[in-house]
Amino acid sequence: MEEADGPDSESTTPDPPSSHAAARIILLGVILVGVAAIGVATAVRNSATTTASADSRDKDQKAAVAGEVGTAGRFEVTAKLVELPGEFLPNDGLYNYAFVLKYEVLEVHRSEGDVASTLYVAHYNPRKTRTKVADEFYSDLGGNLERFRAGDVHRLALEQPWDQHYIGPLVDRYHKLADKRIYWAIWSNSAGTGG
Amino acid sequence: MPHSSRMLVLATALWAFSAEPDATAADAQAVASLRKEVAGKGYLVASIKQKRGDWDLVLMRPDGSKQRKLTDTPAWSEAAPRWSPDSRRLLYRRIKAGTVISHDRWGFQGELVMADALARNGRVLGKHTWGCWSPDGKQISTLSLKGIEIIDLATSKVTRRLSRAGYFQQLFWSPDGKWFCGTANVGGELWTIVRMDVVTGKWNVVSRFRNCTPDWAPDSKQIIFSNRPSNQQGYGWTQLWIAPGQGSKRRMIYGEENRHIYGGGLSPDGRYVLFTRCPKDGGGSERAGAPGGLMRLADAPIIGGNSPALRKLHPQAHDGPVLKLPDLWEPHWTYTDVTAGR
Repeated sequence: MEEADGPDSESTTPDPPSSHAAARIILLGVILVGVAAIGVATAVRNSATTTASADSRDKDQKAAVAGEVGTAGRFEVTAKLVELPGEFLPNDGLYNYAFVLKYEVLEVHRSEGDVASTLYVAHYNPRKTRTKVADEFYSDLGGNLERFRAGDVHRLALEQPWDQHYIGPLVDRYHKLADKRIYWAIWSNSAGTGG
Repeated sequence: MPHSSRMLVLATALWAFSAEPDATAADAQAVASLRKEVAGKGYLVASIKQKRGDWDLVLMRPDGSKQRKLTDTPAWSEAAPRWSPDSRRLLYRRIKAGTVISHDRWGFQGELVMADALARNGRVLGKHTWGCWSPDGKQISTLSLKGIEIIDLATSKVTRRLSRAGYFQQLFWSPDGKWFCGTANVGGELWTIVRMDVVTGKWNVVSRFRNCTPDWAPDSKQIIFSNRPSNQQGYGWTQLWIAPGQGSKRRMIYGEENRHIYGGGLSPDGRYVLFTRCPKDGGGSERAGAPGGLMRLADAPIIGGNSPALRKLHPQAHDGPVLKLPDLWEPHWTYTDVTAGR
């Protein structure tokens, strides 16, 4: 028996796709891949931009935090506050004074001449946070240090000798130590807390 | 009057009586006598705070009468006036109005002005921190980070420079020209009164621990200053003291619990003492001045108010008389009639 023209309705083999459908599928795939690629690229680029921006912000923040510690005075050190030699005097705005604190030098960043391993540093009105320490008489002082605590590490911009930069009451509980050098703290940043 | 109001009046009266000692007729008579004694003895000049906020220089008789403004400058405060030794000129500081005048750092504020005795024809000399007359009135001394400088007024040139030797404020030249006195850091003790030999630069301690605002007695042998002794409970009250320049035993002139005594100065003959009685520490320059007072040095020590703790420490002290002056700051006294022919 001769078969009739027409599809074998009972054929079990699937029909092969036509050429148009295949093209559509391929195109769709290309589009999807392209979109995905663009998405990934954009994401990567955005990520890179964000990172750069964050880096920049971070740098700005660090610069703002660092303030003038890298430029003020002729000396810049990272040093550990050894102790608090007694309480700071009351400081209600009526009386202003500087208080000598003892430091162990960890690193010297800038200096003119030798810097001893132990430093004595006069801090103006130490009860005040360094962000609020500048006043009509000493307008160049500052830093991000909130409080003085034995064992903490500070990054300090200093001048020396102290009495060529400060003229006022000085509380010096180390006054019996002869020949010690007292530095004048201009900028005081926190550089770590004590253990 | 309602009962509650009567009680309030009674309470107020009791408070007033407890705050001030009983003013007897004898006390009033003693004050009146003092007033009569000093009223004609030249003039005082002082800074007085104006309602508009600035300070002006005011001339008055030593009893506080016949007040007359010498300056009237809303944009400026005139502070800490001092007549020249011959009383023909006046030095004072000109500070921008609105600036809070520091009771112990005023010498670093504003500019030094030299004018005639009635503050006319003022000439700004410059910053000249702590500028103070020399005995002959031809020079001034200044105190700054650079040290002590002596400046010739005719040429404006620095003729001499000395190490400041711990001085940080309130440097004053003695009338005999031999000494400076001022407030200094000495041996770890701040606010120490120090005398320095002008020629050699050698110095000695006059009074240790919590002193300030020193000034010379006219004989150049004694120094008057404020001191907040440690033998008090809590923060304590600032008192007026005097000590020989060489620094031997000091003695209290005037003290009063609930008052801080500043602005100590002596009359040109050294017989009378001027001061201010400030309820808050600082002498009043940060606010609106403080009530002035005048007493005889011969009546010292005097204790004002009830001041029970202080009276225990100074049982020999007198109650007065003290002549009350208006609210003022840093008064200065001349026996010269600075108004004559002017």
